[in-house]
Amino acid sequence: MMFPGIRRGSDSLMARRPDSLIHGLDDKPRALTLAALGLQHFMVAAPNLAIVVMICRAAGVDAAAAEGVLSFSLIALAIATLVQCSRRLGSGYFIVSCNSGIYLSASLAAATGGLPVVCGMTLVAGIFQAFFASLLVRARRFFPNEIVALSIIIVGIEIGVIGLNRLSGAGVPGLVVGGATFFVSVVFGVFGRGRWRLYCSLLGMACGYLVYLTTGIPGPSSASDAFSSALFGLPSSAHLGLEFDVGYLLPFLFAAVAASLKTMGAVDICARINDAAWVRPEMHAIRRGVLVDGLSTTLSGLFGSTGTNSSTSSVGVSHASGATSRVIGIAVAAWMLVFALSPAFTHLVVTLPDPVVGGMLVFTGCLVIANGFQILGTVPMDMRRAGVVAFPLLVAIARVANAPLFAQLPDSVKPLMSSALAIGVFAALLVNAFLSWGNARQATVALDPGHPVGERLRQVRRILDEWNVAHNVKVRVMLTLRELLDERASSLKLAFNGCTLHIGLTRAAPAQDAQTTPDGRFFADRVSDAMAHRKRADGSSVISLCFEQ
Amino acid sequence: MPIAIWTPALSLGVDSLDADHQKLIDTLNMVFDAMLFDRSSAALHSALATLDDYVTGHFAREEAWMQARDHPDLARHRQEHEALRDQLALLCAMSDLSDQERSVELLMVLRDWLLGHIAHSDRDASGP
Repeated sequence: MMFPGIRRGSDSLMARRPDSLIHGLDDKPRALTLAALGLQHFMVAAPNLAIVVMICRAAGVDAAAAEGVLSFSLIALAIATLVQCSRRLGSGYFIVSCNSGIYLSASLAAATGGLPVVCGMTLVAGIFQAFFASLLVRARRFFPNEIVALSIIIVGIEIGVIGLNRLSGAGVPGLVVGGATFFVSVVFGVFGRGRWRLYCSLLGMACGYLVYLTTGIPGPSSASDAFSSALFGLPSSAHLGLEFDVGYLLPFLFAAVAASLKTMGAVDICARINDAAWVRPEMHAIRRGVLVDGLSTTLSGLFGSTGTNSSTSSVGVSHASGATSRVIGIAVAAWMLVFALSPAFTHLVVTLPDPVVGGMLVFTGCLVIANGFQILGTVPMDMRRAGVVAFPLLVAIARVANAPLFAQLPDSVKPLMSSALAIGVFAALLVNAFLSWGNARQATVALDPGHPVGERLRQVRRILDEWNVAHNVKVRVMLTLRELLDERASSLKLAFNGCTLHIGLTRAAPAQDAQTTPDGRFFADRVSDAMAHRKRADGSSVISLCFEQ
Repeated sequence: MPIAIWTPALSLGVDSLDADHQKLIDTLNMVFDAMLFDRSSAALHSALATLDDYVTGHFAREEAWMQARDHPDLARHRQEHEALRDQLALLCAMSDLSDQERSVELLMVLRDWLLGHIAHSDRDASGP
């Protein structure tokens, strides 16, 4: 250990727990609480099983086989949730895996060739996403925080709009039921204390269901079938099969990119929720999170189901309820397995009345949008970044609003443009690439040993101000340079690509008779994101530092 | 984002002195956090007030503890304490610097204090 007795405290293990959390990341809630929280999150993610049912119907899969698809889907989701919550294997945050609407348009297109084609292409998308995970970290400048925030906001809008559509399908009584679900969730989420806040989403759904029973809205047609189904049973594997069609490759790969960004945002939100002193994204957790998400989609494809992703609705509920313990992931996975082996329960859950599901989706959509804006708030906004967010957001909202523009597009492009998230992220990547053209900045500062350190630091500070570098990066750089700039420091190279600041500090060879003292790197090692030291043949050395924005 | 964590390896075996040392690490983390969130001004003044108390109360406690043990290094230790007092006084007098620049300087002082004095001199004084 370089500094005996003083441990480094900059990793996520040392994050500062926010006061608002009831069950923090490493807490172990009591068994009953755990079971209830697990059920709540399962209930939040369960409506997405309707996506699987929708795709099965489009692929001409009969009801019995569709139940098998649902069961295998839940088993894949249970495994993925367990791995995702593991600190060693996954992101280490409580993130529930769910079937995702991101893959819906691509899957519906592929469903015309049958379910095996959907599964085969889902498998390909999952493998691509797993590879994309490492690329995402290396090429992070193409996916800056503003694009992550944008993708989260669009997901929130999509969830909210789906919710509004579902609750408005039953006319005024449906609006009342959905409104009651939403209102009760908000009241308990905002004003509730202790366990009342923990179960805000469940309480909202329960109240919404009670109101629903009084309205006389006709129930889902298949709800009664649930009671005649077996309570427990092994799922049928008759549907398993894989086929591939290159014609659907592009929409699936694009959906995988969007899914990666969404997971990137989900991990980022979790890091923020769990750390009151959050400063910057944890790229290792993000990489593992995206990797596990890709493997989850791969597994889902192998199991004969559709694409999966991190449930941002569940993350939103964690935030609202103040329960972010990763142990809850085990409870969610257990519930998933129970329901996977229980056709009756699965049926019952997926046939929750539309207005109740709608009200809950509006609630979680609002939370997800708020989380997206929180991330956006950490980005130092300038015209370039505003452009990266504003135009794609406009296009995404136009897509959600079914603007006539999209009907006029050529048929070959339509699958790409069918999802607001896909089109929004695609537009953001293009705008970012275009507006970043020539944006990379470089500067070399000659360090005159005669000048006081404070003056040299101010010179660097002026350069960083001019480049609109985030405040937290400037602070970390100042502290690092204050520590490293000594009489041997001869030149400083700065390079900023809009996302990462690279610093190269050249230090002259020590004088022959100089006493060798260890480099002071107490802060440099702790506040930089990467640090390397290279000695040259002439005795001089270069310290390379990297700061992620 | 705490950048330093106190560990039992730094312990002198005297609860009150250990608590003082932990307080110093807390101050270091607090100043750094405040800088990150652009709240240097309030944190700096709070930290300087804490350290002002520290150099009177803690140093006196530590010297009394060493005196009670007839420690041979007491004189050198007193000199180090005096040097740290001077450093702090110098920092308080740096009125030409911005609060953020003074915060950086304060962190450097705390670092030296932590690495030079607490992690070495104090630990040596506590014996094997």
